[in-house]
Amino acid sequence: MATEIGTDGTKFLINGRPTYEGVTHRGKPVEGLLLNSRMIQAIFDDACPETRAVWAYPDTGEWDPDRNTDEFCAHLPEYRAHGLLAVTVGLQGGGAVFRPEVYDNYVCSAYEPDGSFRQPYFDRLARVLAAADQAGMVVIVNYFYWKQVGRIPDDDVLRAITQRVTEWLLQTGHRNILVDVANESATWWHRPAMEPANIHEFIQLVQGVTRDGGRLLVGSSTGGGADLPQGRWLEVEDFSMPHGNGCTPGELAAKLRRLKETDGYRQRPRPIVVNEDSVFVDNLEAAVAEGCSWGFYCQGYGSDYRDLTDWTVRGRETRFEDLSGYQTLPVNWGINTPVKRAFFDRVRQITGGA
Amino acid sequence: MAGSAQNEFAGFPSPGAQWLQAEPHEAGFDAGRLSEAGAWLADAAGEAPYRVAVVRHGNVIAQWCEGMEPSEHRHMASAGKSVFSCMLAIAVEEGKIASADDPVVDYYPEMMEVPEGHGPKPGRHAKPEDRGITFRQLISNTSGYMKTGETPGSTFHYQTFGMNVLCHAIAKTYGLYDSAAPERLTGPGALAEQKIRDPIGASWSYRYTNFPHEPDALIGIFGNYLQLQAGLDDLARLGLLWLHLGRWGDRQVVPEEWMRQAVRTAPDIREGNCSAAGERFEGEALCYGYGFWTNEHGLLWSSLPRDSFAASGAGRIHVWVCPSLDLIVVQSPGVYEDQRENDAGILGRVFAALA
Repeated sequence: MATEIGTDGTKFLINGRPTYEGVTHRGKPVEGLLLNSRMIQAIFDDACPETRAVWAYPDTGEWDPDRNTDEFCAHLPEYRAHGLLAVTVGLQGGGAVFRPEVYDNYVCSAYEPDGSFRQPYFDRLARVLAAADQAGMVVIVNYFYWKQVGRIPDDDVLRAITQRVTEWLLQTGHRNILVDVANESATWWHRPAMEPANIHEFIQLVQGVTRDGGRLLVGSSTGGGADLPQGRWLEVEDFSMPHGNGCTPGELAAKLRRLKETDGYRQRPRPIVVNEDSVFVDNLEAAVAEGCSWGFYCQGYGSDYRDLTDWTVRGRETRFEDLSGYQTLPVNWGINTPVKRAFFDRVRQITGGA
Repeated sequence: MAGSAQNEFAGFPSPGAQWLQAEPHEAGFDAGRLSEAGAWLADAAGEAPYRVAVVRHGNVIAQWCEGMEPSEHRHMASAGKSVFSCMLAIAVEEGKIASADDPVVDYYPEMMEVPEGHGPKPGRHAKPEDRGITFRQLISNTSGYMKTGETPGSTFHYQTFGMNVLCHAIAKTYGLYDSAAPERLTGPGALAEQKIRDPIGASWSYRYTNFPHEPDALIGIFGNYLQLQAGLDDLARLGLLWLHLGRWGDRQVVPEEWMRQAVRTAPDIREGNCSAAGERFEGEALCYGYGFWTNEHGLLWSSLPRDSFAASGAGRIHVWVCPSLDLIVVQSPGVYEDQRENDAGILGRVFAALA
């Protein structure tokens, strides 16, 4: 099975047909959307010996990056059966545990500081792409996470990585790929090259890499709250990825409407994909009502992270079958907790599992 | 509950002691009219049991009981919300909660962990806006907790689950509630005993109950309703406590300023920012304070003083308090479910019996 993602105006297409073709929910079209989940740690590993033990599985006492990826891949058909069409996977992961002694020290990156590849990450990503392709799903590949970018001091190296990763993705032959260059480009990155004023250069770098006349569709995600793509960023990206963290349903709807009212969007309407938000199905509903795709973000306990859900109130679960979240490692990629079930059940309700 | 024991403080019955009685004329009543009120009650009740007590100036003036012993404990139902209000005030005063305007989630984050399919019924689950719910909104029934389309402070909507969360959050600040294992600790019931029941010499009991819920409902978080079981004496004591704005003898059990606010229309409603959902009558929202029903606008009992208020619950439970008349009328049960009908019923007749 080959899964090829495309766009037509504001709609996503898979293999030339609109996604969720003909499906409506509460009187609103679901057709053309790309409901998704942030599975940013699907190819995670940690090169730091001092923090690696933090990710140990409760049943074996050891961290195992291949087990992590393989278990994730095994669950893709289950996600798809609920109607989920896309997952976001990071080449530098995402925030796993926010305690400073861990967050400041763990090393999850597919790139060495000099830009050379850590091949096992790409081997795992290849497995994810193939499994998703087989399941009829799309992978939104995130290239950079701000905390890990700090370990790569040279901006030119970041550009070279962008070029080479894009070439690598194209040479896989998979066409079920979207690109999120930088997770939440923002001024708080303190890395001017990748901040909102300049992130368009990286987007254009990806757009400039072609193979057999084709290229990857690319954008860059924004922060939550009121953050929106702006300026050249908004002009050049193929689709928009505003994050919805911290937003109530009303605030998210207003944010999405603001994006649709910008000159950049009006001049070239494109799909909008919230690919990180929260565990709240009300936000999913709000996005769908606005004609936008939405992404589940389930951090998990033991992370020392707090958003609209306070993930700090409990420690990490001690049994594998109880592990909460999809971002705090180790991950149980199953639909094994009430909040995960609530999301997937609602996706199935909205899409009919289409 | 009437007797002749001496009170430790004038007008406040001692723990375990019976209340002082007074003749109707000593308390400013026309004895004949008050007697007629009692007769009307017996007639209106028909075969149904009833228990009604009239307390004025701290003395029992009349007590009419049929079919139930005064001491029998009966479910207070939503009249308990007025006790919950007092518990909140005490928790704030004692510094367990910094402010009634604090987000509840800061104290009870698990209130947000009720996803779709795990609420009390289909369509009820924690939503992002619920994070902004304050203690004051919970006690005012304006929180919109787990109610789709109701943002905090926007809608008056009488509900039980918000009150449950309020009780659990308060109890948790005292180390008395664990939503993951509710049976492990004594919960808010024990707190109500310690902070209110014992200081006023009452003897109510409590238990935790639940409505029929969905199988996966996380009742440890939003269920386990604190059901107070009280006799007529207990309710009269509460009425006396509230009449004196939280003071019992020389002890301020509930902060006075809170009591002053609690028996008036809640701020969210007063300020007009609030619509109403499920109102039983037009203007019902204006009749609600912090867990108390208020006659501030004359909408509950148009012929009775505006400073009167009540704790009311299903099962015809009403503790009606009128500070300006130093008058309390306790019904447990009374005749009418709808407290407004008391205007032309027993309340109106007791009021009319004042000489």
